[in-house]
Amino acid sequence: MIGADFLGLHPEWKVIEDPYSPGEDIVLVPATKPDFALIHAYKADKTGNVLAPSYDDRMVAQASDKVIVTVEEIVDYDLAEDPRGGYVIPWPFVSTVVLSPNASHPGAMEPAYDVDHNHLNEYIAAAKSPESYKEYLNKYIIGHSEAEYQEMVLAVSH
Amino acid sequence: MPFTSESFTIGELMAARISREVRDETYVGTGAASPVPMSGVLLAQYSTAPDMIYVAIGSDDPALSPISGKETFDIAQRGKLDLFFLGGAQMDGHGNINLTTIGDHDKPDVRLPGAAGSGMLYFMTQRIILFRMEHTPRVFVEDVDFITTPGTSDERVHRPGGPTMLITNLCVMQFLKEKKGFELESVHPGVTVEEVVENTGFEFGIPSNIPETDAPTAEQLSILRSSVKEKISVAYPGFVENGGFGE
Repeated sequence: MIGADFLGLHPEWKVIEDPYSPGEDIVLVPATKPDFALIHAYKADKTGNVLAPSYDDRMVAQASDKVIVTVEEIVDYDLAEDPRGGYVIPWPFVSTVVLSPNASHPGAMEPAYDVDHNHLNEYIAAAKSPESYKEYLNKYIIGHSEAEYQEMVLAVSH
Repeated sequence: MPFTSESFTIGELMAARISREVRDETYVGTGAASPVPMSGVLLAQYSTAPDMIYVAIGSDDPALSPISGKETFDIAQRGKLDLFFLGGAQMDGHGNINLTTIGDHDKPDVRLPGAAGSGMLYFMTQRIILFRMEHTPRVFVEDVDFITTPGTSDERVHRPGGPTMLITNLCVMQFLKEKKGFELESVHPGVTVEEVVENTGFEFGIPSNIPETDAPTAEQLSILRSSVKEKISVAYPGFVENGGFGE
């Protein structure tokens, strides 16, 4: 980190002498304390246990005050007892679960679905100017419900 | 991918050169978008370094990488990763890498994907080979617009590792830590020293009598076009389809 231009962007990061290695400096970075975490995961059960694709999701959930998890499906068994296919975020770290299939779109939710490359290419083309980006937002996002969005993108990609 | 001659591609030439850097019985890793480094490391695994442990960050294929990407970072932080490969949108003559922004950082012309852990790997991997398939003045600049991670550090920084070599579609350079700069090692077949100078925005050492980069041997080409190609075609199907390997 020392010698990188990131240090100049973060006045809250401190360079101090490493107490364990006198003569060497280290960078102190304050812990991130998010007010909210938004996580998309595979499954949730009735208790609020969540099956996520990565252990990192559990750490993000633990660090955050409010944790909103969207999931592909809600199951009627105990995920803590059967965590196959993912990593469990235990219910005390979860504030809200929202059933929201395909919510990673146009990103991937492996192994359930892959990246929607056609849609991403459309997005990349749209992002080239403020005008075309606004058109993209109007077409897919602004004034459209999640269900309408999913209907539009599923009609194209499948 | 352009053929340098009828017998091998630039990618195969680079893979053969890279394979010489791989030490047996060490951890060696590659990151995202690295088909040529992956080819070189796999070539070594199938020839000179059978007991090297290859870790591909971002690969879900346990046949390719026995441990996770997170664990690869852990191994690097413990100083146990011997060799890794980094590229950059811009690189300068001091080995500084820019993966962050082109232009003014607060109002960038291009916002790049970011460091993705390369900062730590650049410091803690014993040896880093820098690579790019585009050797042009827009990539190899006098000074990078933003130092995502520096090429060298002073003695107050804990840094066991750093850059040792640069390999591109034109040439191979050594990084000399004490000089904080590059020195030309070889030019690829058909490339002149003048072309390398014209396409490099920074100063670098040019010893007299620059040799041609060694061509891959028939045995290396045979391995590249069979076992290596098979694995690359899973990890990087586009690279194979676009003629990354000769026939």
